Amino acid sequence: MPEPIIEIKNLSVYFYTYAGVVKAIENVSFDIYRGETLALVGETGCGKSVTSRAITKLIESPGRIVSGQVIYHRDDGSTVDLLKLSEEEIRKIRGNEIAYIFQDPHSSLDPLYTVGYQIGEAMEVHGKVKNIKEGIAKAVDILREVLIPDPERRVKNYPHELSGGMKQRVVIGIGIANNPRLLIADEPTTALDVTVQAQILELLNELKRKYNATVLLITHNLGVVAETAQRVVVMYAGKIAEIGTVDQIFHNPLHPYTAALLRAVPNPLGKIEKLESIPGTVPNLITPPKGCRFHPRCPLAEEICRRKEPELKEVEPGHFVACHRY
Amino acid sequence: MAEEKVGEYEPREEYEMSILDRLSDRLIDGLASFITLFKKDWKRRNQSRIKEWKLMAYALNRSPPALLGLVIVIIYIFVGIFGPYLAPWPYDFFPVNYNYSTQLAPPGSTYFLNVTELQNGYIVHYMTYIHYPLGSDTYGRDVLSILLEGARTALVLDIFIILIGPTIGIILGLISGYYGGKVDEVIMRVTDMFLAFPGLILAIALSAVLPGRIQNFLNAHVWAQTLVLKLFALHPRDVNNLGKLLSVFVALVIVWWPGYARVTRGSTLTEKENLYVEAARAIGLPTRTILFRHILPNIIGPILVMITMDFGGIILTEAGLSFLGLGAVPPIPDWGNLINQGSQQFPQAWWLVAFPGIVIVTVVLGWNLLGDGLRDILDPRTRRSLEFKLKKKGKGGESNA
Amino acid sequence: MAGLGKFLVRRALTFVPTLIGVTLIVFIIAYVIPANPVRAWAGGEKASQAAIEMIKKEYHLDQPWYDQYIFLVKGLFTNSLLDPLNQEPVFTNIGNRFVVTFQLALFAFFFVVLIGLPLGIISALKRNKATDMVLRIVALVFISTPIYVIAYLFIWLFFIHWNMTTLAGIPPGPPHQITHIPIIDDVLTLNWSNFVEQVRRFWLPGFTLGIAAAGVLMRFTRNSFLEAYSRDSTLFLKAKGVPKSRLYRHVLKNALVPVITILALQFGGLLSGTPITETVFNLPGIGRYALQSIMYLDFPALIGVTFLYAIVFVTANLVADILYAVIDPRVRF
Repeated sequence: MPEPIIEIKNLSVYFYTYAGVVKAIENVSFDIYRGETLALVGETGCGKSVTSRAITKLIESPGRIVSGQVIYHRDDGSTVDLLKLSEEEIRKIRGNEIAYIFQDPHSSLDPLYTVGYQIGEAMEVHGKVKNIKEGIAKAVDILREVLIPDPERRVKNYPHELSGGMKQRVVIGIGIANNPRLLIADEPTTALDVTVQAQILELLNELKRKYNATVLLITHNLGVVAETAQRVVVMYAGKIAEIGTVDQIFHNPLHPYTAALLRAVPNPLGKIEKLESIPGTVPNLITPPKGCRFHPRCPLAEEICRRKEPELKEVEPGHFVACHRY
Repeated sequence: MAEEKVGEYEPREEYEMSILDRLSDRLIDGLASFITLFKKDWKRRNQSRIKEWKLMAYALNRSPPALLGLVIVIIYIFVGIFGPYLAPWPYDFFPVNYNYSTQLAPPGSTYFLNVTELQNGYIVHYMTYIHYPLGSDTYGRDVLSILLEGARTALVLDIFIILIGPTIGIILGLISGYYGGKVDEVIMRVTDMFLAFPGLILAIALSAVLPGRIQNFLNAHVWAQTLVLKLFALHPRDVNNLGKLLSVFVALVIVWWPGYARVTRGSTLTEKENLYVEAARAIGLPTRTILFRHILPNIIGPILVMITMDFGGIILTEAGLSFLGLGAVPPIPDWGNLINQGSQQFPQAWWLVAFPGIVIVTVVLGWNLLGDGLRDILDPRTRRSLEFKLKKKGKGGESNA
Repeated sequence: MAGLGKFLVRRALTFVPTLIGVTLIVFIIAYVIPANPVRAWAGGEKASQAAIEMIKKEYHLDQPWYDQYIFLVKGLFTNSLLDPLNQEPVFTNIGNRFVVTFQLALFAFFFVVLIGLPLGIISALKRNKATDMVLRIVALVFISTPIYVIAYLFIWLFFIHWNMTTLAGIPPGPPHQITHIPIIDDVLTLNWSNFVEQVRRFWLPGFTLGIAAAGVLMRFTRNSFLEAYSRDSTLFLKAKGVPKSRLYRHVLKNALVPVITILALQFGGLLSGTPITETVFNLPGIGRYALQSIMYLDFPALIGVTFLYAIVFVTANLVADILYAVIDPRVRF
């Protein structure tokens, strides 16, 4: 039985905007196991990023975490609900035990500081180095680790002097600077050139192996999932549709949405067939559909789907689905 | 819209509607119906736009400073229209002719007047008394009346300068940004020249040299004379003061366009890169349509904010010119001119500075508060980041889970 | 820094049309006026025909318009153009008055920065709280209050009531002059008694002149700070676990990039925005010179003043560009 490092329970985040309450995620529950790579997939706006940020309370106004728990299992066996921690306590965990890599390296870095400073700063604020000078010195090693050539010179560069792929390597370097237990990579390759994407993914995989870290990979690219992850969480319109191993999801998708999603892209684990698009559009999360949120687009929708919200059920070991058909 | 279908979707979690929300809903619905009178089916085809307007109005209703600004602006416009009829004394009645001690009478004082007037060709004598709640000016005129009547002067100048100056600027900016190249270069160099010229100095120079020409024009065109007199609610015998008054108008129009040309050009440059402009060009829409029907509506937000705040800026500059003795001169009622009179008798006649000063500051502040509120609401980015406090209406929400 | 030199030359070339244009505008205004300035220059209604003819000849007014224009501009550059009212070269007049205006602008700038920057930052830090709302309204009140109203309020308070300033005359500069700006020379020569005298005369006009600009700066600083705060890089800093104080240091540095360039433009604006302040506080500066030249239809003086204003405008823009390049590593010449 794998042991969890994070247990997310009934997490809901709402955005109180002028246009109404946007229920970005509702009652989201899943576990992240120690040492695995868990992929969080779904269409744009389905709540993937919000979920990952809510883990360490990185939700800004007008958003608010309205309910739920994020149980974090420390290495010494103790557990703590991250959502109950004070601002200072959670700060000590962010970037230290749980680190992030954001989507767009062009906007993640502060343009006015050198990359060496920004990596050194990540270590300094968690007391890993005595001062920023020592941090910048150590940043050279980290730049070497993320395979940036000529790190002694690069450490003095400003972000705008680096290419997109290089910048993302720096961002990854900041992420791994403190040797985190959990690394949350939020679409780390989306903003990059196709040729660079593979390199970055490979780097991530390698670092994960080296440090034995747990990775939560957020992506909408199923090819990436098949290559890097062991388990998959599929989200639709702020809710969880299906959870399973890569094998279960790709070979035996239970939720009609997962099935549709797999038919919409070349199946990385199957033979290439005709691609189909999913009819309809992503629902408006101010007035989401009643019952199952996928029912307006679902080819198999029945009367009950319109009325009752399906609960997440374990259909086979480790394979959960929220659909009335099971 | 599909989401209104009953039963299929969860109800919207509503914010509690205030009276203002209902009022703004009514107003926007009314406006939509009004437009529909002229454009068939407008209301039906623009439902989502109407909905967005209503939501924006809710955001405005939750900003007390913006509401305060709106109230001040509404009062200003009301007084600007009806002020000349509300004023107890006409602006061209000079009590100092009948009782010399009414000159610079302090607030709260009352004087008797022994009036000798020419009415319909007859000489009329009568006794009356005049009460000065806010004091009197050098001509013994009631300051309260001049303030009420001066609102008309300010409002008419305000509206017409805004109608013409920014329009010129916006058109030039659109052309400059859209065509680029030589056209852009020429327009922007000219704009720079005007920007390099301190606005106040240019306005002063123009209002000093223009009155003669404008007066000649008005004297040659009786219809224009009548129109201007009506607009400013002036007596026909003041026709010879119009040249000075209108020179301020012309001066401020000339000063007020360059800023708009700059801003509009900048937004047009980024906006024209969008695909929809390319598409509009590809299907052969005339440039005029692309500029005014497609680009302008998308960049109008910041321009509207600028216009709102400039309503206040024009009042400041216009009153500044009359403070320097240019533009509106007595007997034309004008706020800045009262301060000019007061400055020569300061601090004895403090009320001539204080009361017009308070009025000017209040009105300008009103426009600025409103503009500031609009900035938050018209910019989609800040609008989305406004946080609303949730108040559930009745029991609503997710009872069906 | 060869790049900088090239950049300066390139920028300076774009100023030429602006400068020519500004003088041309004044010239056109002067050319189209119906009133006859020559009679006014010669001494009003009583002026003799001979005197008028002489002045016409002296200022090339009997020549075609382009000749008049060239005469004016050439006169400006060689400082041979005389102000018809006091027979001094125009630029000599301007130079004497510019010292006063520059010192006034310095005082105003001091108050602008002192009030605008900290209050703007506080307003942003307390975003959407009561403090923020109050400060936003205060900034708008500053912007909405005309100089000619607030000046009298201040005169009544600080001069009539508390006698904290003087309003007559101008204290002479210190005996030893380096920059010819008295307050700067005082600091350089450590002449504190003259320093106090200068401050006593200039602080109130400076405060009055600066108050609107302080309101503008407050708003600009607040918005710039919030803009920097809402960037992805700020969220990433949070995700890094950076403490609040350090987070704000990053945000502040980013926010100050546009603020500092705006400060350069604001100083230019203060220099050219003095006419009403100088009139009310009785200071013999450029602004009042410009007003007088308009009132007396003294166009040689007006063309000189506007030329100076145009130079101030382009210089302020240039300084803003340079500052931008110095503090932002992304911008290179």
